[in-house]
Amino acid sequence: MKRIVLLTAVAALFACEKKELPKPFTGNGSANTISVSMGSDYANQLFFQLSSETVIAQNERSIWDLAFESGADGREIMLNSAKYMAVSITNETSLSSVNGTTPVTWLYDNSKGMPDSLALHDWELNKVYILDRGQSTTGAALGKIKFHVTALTENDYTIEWGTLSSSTFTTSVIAKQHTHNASFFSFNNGGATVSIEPPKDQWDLCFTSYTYYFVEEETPYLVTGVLSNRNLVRIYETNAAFESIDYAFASTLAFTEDLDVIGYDWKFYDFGLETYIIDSEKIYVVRSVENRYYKLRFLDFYDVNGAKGTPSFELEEIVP
Amino acid sequence: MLPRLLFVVFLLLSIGANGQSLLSVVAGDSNQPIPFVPVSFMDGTTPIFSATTDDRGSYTLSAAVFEQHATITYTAEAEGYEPQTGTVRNGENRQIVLLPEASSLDEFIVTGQLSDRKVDDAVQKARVIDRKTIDAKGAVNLRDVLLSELNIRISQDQVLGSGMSLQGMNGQNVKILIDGVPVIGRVDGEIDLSQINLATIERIEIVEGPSSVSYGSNALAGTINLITKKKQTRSQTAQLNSYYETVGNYNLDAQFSFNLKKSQLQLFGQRNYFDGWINGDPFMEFPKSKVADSGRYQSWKPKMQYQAGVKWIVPIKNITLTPYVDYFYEKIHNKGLPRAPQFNSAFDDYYYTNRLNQGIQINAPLNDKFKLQGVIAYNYYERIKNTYIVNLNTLDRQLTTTAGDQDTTRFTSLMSRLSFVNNEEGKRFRYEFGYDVNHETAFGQRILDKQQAITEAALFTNMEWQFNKLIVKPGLRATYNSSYRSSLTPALNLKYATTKWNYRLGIASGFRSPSIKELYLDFVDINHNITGNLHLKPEQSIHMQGWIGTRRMVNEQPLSVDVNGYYQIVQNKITLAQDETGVQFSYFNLDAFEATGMQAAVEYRPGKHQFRAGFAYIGTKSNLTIDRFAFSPEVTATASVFWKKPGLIFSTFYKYTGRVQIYLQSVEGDPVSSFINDYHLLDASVSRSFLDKRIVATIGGKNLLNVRSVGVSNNDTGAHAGSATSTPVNWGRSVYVKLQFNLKSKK
Repeated sequence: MKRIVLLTAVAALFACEKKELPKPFTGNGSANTISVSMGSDYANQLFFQLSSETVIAQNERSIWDLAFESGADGREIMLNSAKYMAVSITNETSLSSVNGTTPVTWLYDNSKGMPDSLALHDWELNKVYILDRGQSTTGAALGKIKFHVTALTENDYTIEWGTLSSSTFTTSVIAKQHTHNASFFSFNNGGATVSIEPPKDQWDLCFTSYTYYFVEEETPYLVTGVLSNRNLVRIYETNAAFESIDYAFASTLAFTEDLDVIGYDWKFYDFGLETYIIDSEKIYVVRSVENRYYKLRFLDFYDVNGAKGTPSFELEEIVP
Repeated sequence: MLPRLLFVVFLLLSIGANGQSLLSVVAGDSNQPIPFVPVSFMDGTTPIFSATTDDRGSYTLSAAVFEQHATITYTAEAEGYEPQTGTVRNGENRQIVLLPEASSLDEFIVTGQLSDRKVDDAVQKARVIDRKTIDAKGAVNLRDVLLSELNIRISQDQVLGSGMSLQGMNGQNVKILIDGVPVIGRVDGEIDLSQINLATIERIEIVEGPSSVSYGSNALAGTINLITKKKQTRSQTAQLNSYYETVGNYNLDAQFSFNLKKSQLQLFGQRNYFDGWINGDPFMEFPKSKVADSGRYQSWKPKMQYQAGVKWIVPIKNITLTPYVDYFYEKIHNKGLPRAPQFNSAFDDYYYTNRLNQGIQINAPLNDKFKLQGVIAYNYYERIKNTYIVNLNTLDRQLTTTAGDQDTTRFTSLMSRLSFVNNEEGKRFRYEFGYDVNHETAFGQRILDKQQAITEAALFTNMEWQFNKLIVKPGLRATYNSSYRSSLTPALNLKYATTKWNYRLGIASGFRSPSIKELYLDFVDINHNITGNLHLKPEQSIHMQGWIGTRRMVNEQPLSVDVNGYYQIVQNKITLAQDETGVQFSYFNLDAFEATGMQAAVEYRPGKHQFRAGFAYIGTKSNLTIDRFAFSPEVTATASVFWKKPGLIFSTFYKYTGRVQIYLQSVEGDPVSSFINDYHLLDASVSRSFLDKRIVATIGGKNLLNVRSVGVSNNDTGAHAGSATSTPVNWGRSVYVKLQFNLKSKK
């Protein structure tokens, strides 16, 4: 009896978790892998240059509000969708008659970036617009602003603005930077232009958060991914094998002008596993600002420490 | 002439003029003699010898024995009966009436009672799962035992653990108590039932319908009270249980009790290891080292549990104080899938749970009329989550830095309940009044200022009037809560019983106080904006139920039939919703929830066999079900057959869980309906005891129909049609072996 007792006791105590055995490395060890870090709360916008494979500029994403198109005949005004900004159109032309008590409909810029799909595409001189400045990187609401454009010339925009409830207003002049896609303006510190994008012929991809409008769910939502330079950069998404993509293939592709071809959906969140999973089937062919071709495929959304917000990807130039 | 002569001789023998004593053993329930009963004889406390009664249950003590011992103390012990001790002198005859063990015929309950009551006599209908049933089910924890119970459904979350619903209402409305002390650790409202081990549990009492008068918050749908083992009658006992299940469960527990002067010390230790399971695992496989590839992921996570406890039963005059400490540790390892596309790293989560329960139970009979009973307890619960990124090539690991990956949640509860009971035998009017105080704290990253506390204090009273066959039992509780101030909770239960029929009617109010999370949640980041609401009121319910039961003998064996119908409405249900700004989410007293249904149970106990069958029809209705009840049926069947010759007990447990219609809110806020498919569960076991019960061996099969998960389908024909997934029910078919070793000293 004692022996049986001892035997069963030992048998039951013997079972425990066994150490795993390491698994050999798998993957394309020779590929050119690049990692760029936006921060685990996606705090930064990164401007990436394909030719040098480096981030040539970066900024905290909430430090600007509006981008004003910089061409001599440019007139588009874009919201900072990286912080979930929205605009509401009023029928007033006087700032003091808008105080926010009327019901508002919030409009968002379409992430494709086509001028006619921008919320403020049809803006009119002196008409008052209410801006929801969105949220900070920690999720705090940044408040509301009312503004109108009082003048537009070849060289600058003049706007008048104030907080939603205020009756005193500020006038700001935003100079058009012709070397850039847009001039960036912040309502912080009494209103000032800020330097965000590098010159338009120097960068290709922007790693950033942006607002995507989910059509089925009728919900705008802050996503994280890649938008392209609206000046010349064109992208094509394919499921072709990464290795098989060559110059002949790339040069005949029907590129679109959409800014969000790469977008956010090269990864998805698995609620069961509670992690982001990379969709490695998606290959992107990029025609750069220098008119060169690259192929790109994502490998990861986490850094070596397991922090999210650090996309890593394979990048190869496609040469004839 | 001859018969008369024989009669005289017999008479002479039995009067024992020349000395000798006849002992005859009969069963108290049937008045039939019990054959072959072991009887031990002592002179005072010194053992003399042991013997066994003959085939008519008799044993004759010869006169010779009495020459050395004037008075002999005997103890007769038969399987299934309470041992009986008495004394006999030379020439006296004794009829020894053995009463069946309490659990085998009359089940007692204490939950919501003024004092121990037979289940059949209690005003409120209750269900008791005794130790025999727990053992026959091969149940290790509360989840295992409730899996095949009527009117209860178990849900499985592979990270949070096993939750439940009772009468169609989810687990946050079910109060779980151990000896009357609430179990804490409601992560997301539910208590993980697989963390409640049953090794030291003597029986489980389930009361359906509110017990809020006695137990306060959360006792809306019902109360599950686990009663730990009582004082052992022997001066020393030791028990060792080992359990192996082919799915990969390796459990061992040991229990000791011994007397220290008049007090008794009970010690207990347990170790449970589960090596994890995923569909496709081999039927039987012992733990071994494996390559860290995609095979490392398991849907049922491996876990290790340790538990240890001490209970000291101290009688001081006629007061019994029982201080106790119980510690529980659990480690769950969620091995992540190697991450695509290169599969060289994985995220691993570890979940550690620590529970420390301690307190003193007080039982003080003041005199024949009055007693004080209660408990003071401090419970501690801590859950730590750690996430590592593991390099699968080197197996190096590192804590991740993403916000929320490393998390600690802590709950404490300091509670006391004491009631003054008038429980005079034979009186028409009996009553109790008492207090129930609970001070709870919660600590966590997502709680405002990291830590918050609420205090709930209540006075309650229960009364019982007996008018011949009618018992009227009203109750009232006045609660003060530090967040919502006050509420009154009344209840009224009636019972009318004849010898064959009994009728019960209950109308009771129940409530659930807003949890600390619902009051103080502070979860704001780029994708979330959820805050608690300090102005929440408690969820309030009204529950009505009726029972009709009959007890009768069929072929001289007891048969019982019980039928029940109930209806419950919960108002001010706390719901997560968008606030008026449309930006923030918070908790509001928004919805109503209704549950209705019926159940029927039949039980037949011919001899030592037992057959039970049950049927339930459960309906629920919320604001999402579009003004109608969604019903789901259930069937249970249990058989326990005693095969006398080899001494084998066969048990089977079957449960059919019907298809459940569930209603959810879509992203657009529209009601979406979906369903969980039906399934059948079947378990069986056979057990036999050896060496006078010193070894009890059980072999059983669990989940014999091999149901692992059931389909969940979305009926919505709109945008989200066709998404079909499944929800886990159980791991695969498995076989277990359980060995119990008992060592008992003489009295």
